Amino acid sequence: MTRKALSAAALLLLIVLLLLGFSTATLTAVRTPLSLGDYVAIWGLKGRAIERGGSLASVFRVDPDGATSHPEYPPLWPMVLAGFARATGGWDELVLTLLRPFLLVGALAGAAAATRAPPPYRLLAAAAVSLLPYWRSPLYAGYAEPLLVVLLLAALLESGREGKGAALRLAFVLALAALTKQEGAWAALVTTGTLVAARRRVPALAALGGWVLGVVPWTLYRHAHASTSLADFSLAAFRPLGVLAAVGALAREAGPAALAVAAVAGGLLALAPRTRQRRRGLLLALGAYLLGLLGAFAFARVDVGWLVRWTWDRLGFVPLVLLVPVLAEALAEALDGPSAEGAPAGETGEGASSATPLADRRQEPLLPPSLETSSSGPTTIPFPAALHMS
Amino acid sequence: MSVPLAPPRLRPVVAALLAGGALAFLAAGALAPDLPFRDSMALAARFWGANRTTRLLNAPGFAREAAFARHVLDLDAAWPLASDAVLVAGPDVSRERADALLRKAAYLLAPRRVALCRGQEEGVRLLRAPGPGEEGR
Repeated sequence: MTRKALSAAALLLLIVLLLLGFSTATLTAVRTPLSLGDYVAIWGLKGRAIERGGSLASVFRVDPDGATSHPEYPPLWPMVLAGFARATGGWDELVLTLLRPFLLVGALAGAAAATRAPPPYRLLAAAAVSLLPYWRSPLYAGYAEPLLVVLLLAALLESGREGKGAALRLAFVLALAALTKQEGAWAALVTTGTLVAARRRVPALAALGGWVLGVVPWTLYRHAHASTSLADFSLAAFRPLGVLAAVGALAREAGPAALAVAAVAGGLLALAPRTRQRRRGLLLALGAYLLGLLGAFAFARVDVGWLVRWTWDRLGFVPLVLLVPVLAEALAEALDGPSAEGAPAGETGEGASSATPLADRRQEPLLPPSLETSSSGPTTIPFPAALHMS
Repeated sequence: MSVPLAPPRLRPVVAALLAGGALAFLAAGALAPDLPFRDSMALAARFWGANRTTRLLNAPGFAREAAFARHVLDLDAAWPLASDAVLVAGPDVSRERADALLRKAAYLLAPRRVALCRGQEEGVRLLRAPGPGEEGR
């Protein structure tokens, strides 16, 4: 088989994987109405309250004591649910599922655009993101993480660009991320620190501005509605051993998955010194992001083991999506050599180069020569028991 | 800094194996869904062909409490949005079940506040309560 044929076969395989990921994730999301877990208790409850009450303050009315629905959480995702419901003729839990494929497309486009490598590797990054298990959990169909990853991928893209326009867009998407989840606010702070360390003053100020815009108005607003504390965390609950408890719980709950990710990521990055160097800032930022999340468990009011058990996969999903473009770049470097480098659309910063097809830029074969063998009205609908989840 | 993980000639092979293994693992997960493809499609067809109320009552999170959800939807239609509600749970209702019913009632009755209290009668009841601005009327 010729190199050209191998490249075409690899491309075809990646397209098939992307379609597999997108179609199975979409089918999982849109086959049943949103009705499970935190959707009913938190996101959907607040979205429905906003849509039907006509006011953002409704999120405090439904749960003034903050007992079950976390009214202190940032409000953007419930507002998106409410806005989408208004735009589509009223609150319908099944129509709302259509948001998921839109966000998935955004995440795939973001992952591809954030990958600084030739197009096949961008396609690979998108395929890998589409295949992550998070998208196929029916429980998570109405959750906020997809919006957060779209915004943070956009922030990753904008943070690599220069100019006032890019800085404004960075501030905007980080503000929206901070308004989506508390992890978004933490990501904005980590981005600020990373850009300061890189002595990129304008983007750093923009990232800080995004954090301020995303955090301060909402904090003032919720304080005005007597929502002054976090339900699951507080400074008074500080226990240094909480971090150790979280590490132990993580080892029990996520040990094999974390080891697998570490092995693949560590292995690919070990083979790609130029990618490690070029993406050092992002890798450090992801490490700081994870350390921050881990440190937060020291302030948990609730049982740390319980908290880790119900959150680790969602918390890990966001940095994993942001890591995928870097791993695709590392693979490109290991397969094609250090010159296998593309620039995100609109990239003007250092290290930018034109993206050309894999076959044209390859310096080493895609596969070892030994593998190149050829030259050529209410009714009851019965549901499967597996779907009956409380 | 370069890590001498593998000789240069072997690096593409190692990288391809790592990436290929990871993609294969992820693809295997996508190919082994929680429901067979045909069942998923049938489920989607039934839900998308149903009306809004039917969808809600048969949604996975409500189907087991469909009678309760139906009753709450009737109250939702009858009560003004300005009112609030109290869910009274009898001594035979466990804490976990009362909390689960409270979450469902709060969702269906939003933006009304639904408070939980314990009663002497068995079972659960939903009572209308004065909402903000309704007190004293």
